[in-house]
Amino acid sequence: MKTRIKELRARYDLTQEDLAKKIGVRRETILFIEKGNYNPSLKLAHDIAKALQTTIDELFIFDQE
Amino acid sequence: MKISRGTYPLLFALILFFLIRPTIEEFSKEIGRQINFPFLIVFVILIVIGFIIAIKDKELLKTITDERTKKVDRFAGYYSWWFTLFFVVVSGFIADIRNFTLHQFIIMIVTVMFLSMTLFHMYFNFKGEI
Repeated sequence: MKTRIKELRARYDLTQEDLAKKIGVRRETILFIEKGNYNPSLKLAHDIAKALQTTIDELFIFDQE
Repeated sequence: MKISRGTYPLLFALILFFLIRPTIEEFSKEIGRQINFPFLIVFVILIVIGFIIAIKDKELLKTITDERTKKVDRFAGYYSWWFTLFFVVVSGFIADIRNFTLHQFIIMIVTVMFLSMTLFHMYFNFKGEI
């Protein structure tokens, strides 16, 4: 799974720590999601999308595999 | 259970303390002859590293818990429990052969519990997806 978190963070000038603080998670969690190493729950995906003023399907790009 | 990156060195220090406690008791008497003295230095270094990481991560007083950390905690506890159970069965035979006292056996199990939990926690925390 690929994400556009990094791109959208840059757009809103947010660091990983800022975003993590905004959602109430650890910085490493954002890091792993960004790298595609961790699949967040639907609630967390929703919270991230909301913080970055976008939708889940625009934020996460699912591979067919 | 709230474990963060800064907690790992502190837990290792705790395990080390558990093992070198008799050395510390006699520390003032015969420091020169103690073989475990280097462990005492490692213990102090681990404590310092733990505090530095905790301060750097701003988690000295408060640890943030989220869904991933809860998952890591759960998995570390689960794997550690099974590993310790396996260890108890295997070491039971060894303890019987080598005539370990009950006290030695309990210390061994508690140490393995702490150590395996910390190592599994570290592994899952750095792995990302669980």
